[in-house]
Amino acid sequence: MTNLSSAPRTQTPRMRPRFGWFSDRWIAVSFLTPTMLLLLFMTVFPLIWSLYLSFTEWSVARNTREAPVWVGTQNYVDLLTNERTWERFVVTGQFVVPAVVIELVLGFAVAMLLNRKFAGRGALMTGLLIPMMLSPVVVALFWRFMMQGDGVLNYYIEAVLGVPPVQWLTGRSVALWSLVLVDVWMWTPFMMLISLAGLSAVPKYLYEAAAVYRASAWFRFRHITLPMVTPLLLIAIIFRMMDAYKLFDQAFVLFGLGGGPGRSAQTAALYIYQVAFDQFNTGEGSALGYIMLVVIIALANIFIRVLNQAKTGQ
Amino acid sequence: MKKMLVIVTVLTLVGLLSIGPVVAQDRPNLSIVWFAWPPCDLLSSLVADYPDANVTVSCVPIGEWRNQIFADFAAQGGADLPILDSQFMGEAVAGSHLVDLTEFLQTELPFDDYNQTALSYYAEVPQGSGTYYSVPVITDTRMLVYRRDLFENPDVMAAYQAATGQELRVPQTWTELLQIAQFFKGSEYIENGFATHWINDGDLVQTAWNHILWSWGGELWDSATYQVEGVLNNEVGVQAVEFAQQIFQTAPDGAAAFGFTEVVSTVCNGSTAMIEIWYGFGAAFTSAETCEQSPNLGFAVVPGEVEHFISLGGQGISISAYSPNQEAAFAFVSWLQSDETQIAWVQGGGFPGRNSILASEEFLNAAPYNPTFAEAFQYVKDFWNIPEYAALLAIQGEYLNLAISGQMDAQEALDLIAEEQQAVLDEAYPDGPPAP
Repeated sequence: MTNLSSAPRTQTPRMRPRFGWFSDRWIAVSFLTPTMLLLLFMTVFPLIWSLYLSFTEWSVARNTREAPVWVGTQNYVDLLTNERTWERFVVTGQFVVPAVVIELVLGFAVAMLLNRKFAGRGALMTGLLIPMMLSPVVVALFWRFMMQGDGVLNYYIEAVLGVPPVQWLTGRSVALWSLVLVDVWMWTPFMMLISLAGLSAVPKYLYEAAAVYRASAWFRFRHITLPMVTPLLLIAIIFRMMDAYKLFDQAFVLFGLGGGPGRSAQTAALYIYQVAFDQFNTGEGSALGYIMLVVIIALANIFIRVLNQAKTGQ
Repeated sequence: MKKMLVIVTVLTLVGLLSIGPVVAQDRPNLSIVWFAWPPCDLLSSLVADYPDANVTVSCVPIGEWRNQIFADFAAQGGADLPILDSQFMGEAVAGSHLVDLTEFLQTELPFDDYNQTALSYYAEVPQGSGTYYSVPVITDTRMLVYRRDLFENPDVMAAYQAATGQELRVPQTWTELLQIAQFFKGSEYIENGFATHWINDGDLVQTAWNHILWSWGGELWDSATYQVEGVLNNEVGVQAVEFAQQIFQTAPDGAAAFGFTEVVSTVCNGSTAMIEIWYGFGAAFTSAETCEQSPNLGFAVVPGEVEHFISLGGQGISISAYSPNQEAAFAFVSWLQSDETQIAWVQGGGFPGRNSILASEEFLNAAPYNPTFAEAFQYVKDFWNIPEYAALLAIQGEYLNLAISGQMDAQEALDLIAEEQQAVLDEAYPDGPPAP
């Protein structure tokens, strides 16, 4: 009998795999390249080009056949020393702060109410989320119709409350609050959703322990619920704040490019659009865009620091 | 046999492929861009009959109209035949986006037959230069639409006579219009007196107010010296704003946000006695299906005061410098301006730029408001068509809307407009106005 184990093994030649050249690295490169090229072309190039334009005096409409004229930081100096620019950022801030605060408070309150089991909870939640799922333009159009002088809001205000109609879209002191109202209606569900996710992640045993010690409802909220949910709420605030700061569509539909009475509701994004695409001052518009970018990054950084501190404190 | 079949198939394919380009070459594609309003729809249906090219008309929302045209110019493409507002012309010519049509107008079209005022405003850049960049496609100005049934109602007439001591008639002056509007506001006959588009959007509040200023004897600026301060914000200007404040009080609630749609609705739904709007919207008032009060409406010329001016509307059709089909575009404009096409245009509800067509029976009988159009067009006046137009317009709209709606003092508003507009002009023209 031949001892198979001691028999010399036939050395089978190592087969060259058919797709040997198709290495993991090659696959990664081939998958990433189209995306990277697209990103370079659609995002990085416009970013660099608009950064260059922000240092030039040039109009895409009037100087199409001429090269941009380099003016250094003149556009930035002009804009930052222009009262109108600051007014637009102040107006945007006056919109962002109340809108996000009201959305946070309302959203969190509704989430607290929904953070328990009851019949019809799913249907109720779906209903509450509908505003967030609609197109902002459609939402703004609905509200514009309702907020007109003889619209349905004023009808109820006069007929039911018996008070004079509100100049929702035409009153200089009211217009910005109308924009806040529309934004709150649309985005409170987002805050509610994030808050609910945070609330449902709070371990039950903490509440059980608190109950053993007969902690009050306020104590449980102040020392268990709020600290546990805060990090998630801060993320929601960052998202909403950044989104609200660059709000364009709702303001445009409600008030047009002029931003309503006395430009009282002309947000920074509307102003950029007006400078860049209505007046076609491309250089100035690009500079304005970068100023807004810096403002948003600065604000986001502040919130991220606060978020990190909250996490560390936890 | 098999070889034969292959040869036949290849030849058939080659034949079919070669037919396509031949057809396309016979009928080139032309595109027009305008804003969405009844005349744009009319043009869309009219061009279907044009035999020598496939013409498509894009009717874009009015808010996007200018932006789309200039974004296309920036990309050195877009429509072959953009229809631009007179105020856009200066900017478009400064950017070399339009073909010079002077020779074409003078040799291929009946130059002398065009209303020279319209031609100058719509096409001549700079004004007085004798260089033209468009051909009037629609002339337009503003009309007064009033509730004829109320004005002819004996009870209303008697009540008006008793209240004012004057006869109720179609207003001949702005002061008379104000008195009638105040009589109707909150009366037992109708809810509101007078409405127009006072919204700060586009050029709406500006075109509604400018002719009040001009009729009071005021001016927006001195076009020879580019001076605004002292020209606009003087006593006459303040009077014109204060008058607008009074007439605004007779409008429906929320009229400071009224655009075209709201103005049409407020007379069609029977809540307002008089409105003022562009003739181009005339078709909105002629059908009882879309306008409940249609049978009760009358049409008149917008009145004057110390002088008589009415804001100019309408636009010219230009040929894009970037059009690959310029020859076909010239041929199309010739067809559009021919007598036959112009007659079809006015019969469909358009307003011509040629005097002979304006005076024709076909035009005068085409719509109930057309007989007043020719008279109204005598009084037209336009405003800045320089490249800084958009910046000047935004400044005027902001403060004017506030002042007319009673949220800012008239003098303060005019002072701010004058100061800011002057700054724009001084920055753009540090050495004074450009040489003509």
